[in-house]
Amino acid sequence: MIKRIKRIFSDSFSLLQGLAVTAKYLFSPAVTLQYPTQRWTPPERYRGRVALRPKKCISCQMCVRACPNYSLEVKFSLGEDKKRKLSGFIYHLDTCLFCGLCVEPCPTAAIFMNQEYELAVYERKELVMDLTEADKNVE
Amino acid sequence: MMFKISPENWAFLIEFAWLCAKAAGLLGFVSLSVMFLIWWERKVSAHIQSRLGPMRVGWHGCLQTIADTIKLLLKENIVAKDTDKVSFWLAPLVSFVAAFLPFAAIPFAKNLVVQDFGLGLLYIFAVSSLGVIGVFMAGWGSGNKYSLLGAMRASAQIISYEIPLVLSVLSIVMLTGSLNMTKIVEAQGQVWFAFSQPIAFLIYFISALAETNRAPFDISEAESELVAGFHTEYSGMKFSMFFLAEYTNMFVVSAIAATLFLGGWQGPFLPGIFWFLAKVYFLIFLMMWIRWTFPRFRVDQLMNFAWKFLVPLAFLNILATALFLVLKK
Ligand code: SF4
Ligand code: SF4
Repeated sequence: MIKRIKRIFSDSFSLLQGLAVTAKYLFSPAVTLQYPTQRWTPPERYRGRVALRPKKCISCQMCVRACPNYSLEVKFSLGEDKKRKLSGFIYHLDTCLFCGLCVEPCPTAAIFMNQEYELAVYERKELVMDLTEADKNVE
Repeated sequence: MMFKISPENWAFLIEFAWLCAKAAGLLGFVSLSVMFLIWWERKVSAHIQSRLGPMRVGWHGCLQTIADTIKLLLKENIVAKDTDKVSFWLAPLVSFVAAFLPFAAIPFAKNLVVQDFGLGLLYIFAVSSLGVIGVFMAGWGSGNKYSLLGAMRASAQIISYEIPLVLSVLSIVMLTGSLNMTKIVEAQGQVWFAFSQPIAFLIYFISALAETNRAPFDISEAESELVAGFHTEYSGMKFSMFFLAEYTNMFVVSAIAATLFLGGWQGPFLPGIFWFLAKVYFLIFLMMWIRWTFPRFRVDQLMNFAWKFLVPLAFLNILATALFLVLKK
């Protein structure tokens, strides 16, 4: 009986402790962002979508081979001097899994992952993009 | 056709019109208060969870409830195939009316009461327990097993908790010797009953939480097990009637608690209505705080708590009060 009464008091005390915890949170600042107006800056090594520095790419296809699910296509033509000239770099955002494996083998650091995270589009075909167009001005 | 209206009938008609005006005023107050409470609850819950809650419509989202009400009003009226039409349609009305009726006897301030019944307290408990009929009609009428389960749970719970609720109030009635709300408030001129009857206050508050189906006693809604319990099938305006009823019920039980235990409208300097509303809203805040802190009871725990703990405690409290009264004589 005494044990039970003791438990009633200790349990009631723990209820009060619970209330104290929520009261603390009630007055502490919110951790959420008001998204469209307030934005988050992603960390430096954030893996957003794959992006290209078109001038640096030598069309060596290393990234295409590294990609586990064939999300990249490199199109090129052979110039007079037998050098490859990049004519298109198709990126399939719909199948990309943001693993970053394509970035590592690139000999000229032409391919990288940028900070973009708002990648939703209205139609599936918009997910396939030519990075020589989309990242035309990326140096 | 012409009716000759005698002076007595005139007096009656005027009184009737005056009552209608009072009721309309109260209805307006209740709707506004519910809108405020819904916004407030969303804010409190958000901040407890380190969020901000509604922020877009009006200053800190204060007009959000109005926007939501308009949305609910414009919504399609969905009635499932297997519903029992009559009880399905009547249930929200019964719930709301049962929640609204007790206002008639609650003194908001000195002389600010719709009808100062001699048996005000009895009237309040009589009409407020009608709400469970609405809940059960909703569960039965929906033709849905989750709703029916929720409604059964709600009925069992409300009927069980009605007993400690009334027993805890009984000790107050013994002390004041009256069922009139105004008299009970006036009896607390020196010391509030919350201090002279702390156990009764505690029992009342816990049972009131259960009566209003609020967490941690919300097993009749229990989103995670019963979808939404008795109002699963309701949408649009009928759903908002249940919502209205829930918040009105919260206001009513808090108002009764403020009247019976916290000295009603009494307080220094400021006018009575201010003190009364401050106490009521404080108690409602307490209910919200509790809701967003504690997890839900299990059905068996809930029943055990009512019958094996609250009811005996309430009886002991009555016994102690009776002894005190006898010894005082
Ligand atoms: S991030 Fe991974 S999946 Fe996406 S293109 Fe690069 S290698 Fe392929
Ligand atoms: S690995 Fe680098 S250089 Fe080679 S094709 Fe891919 S992006 Fe161009």
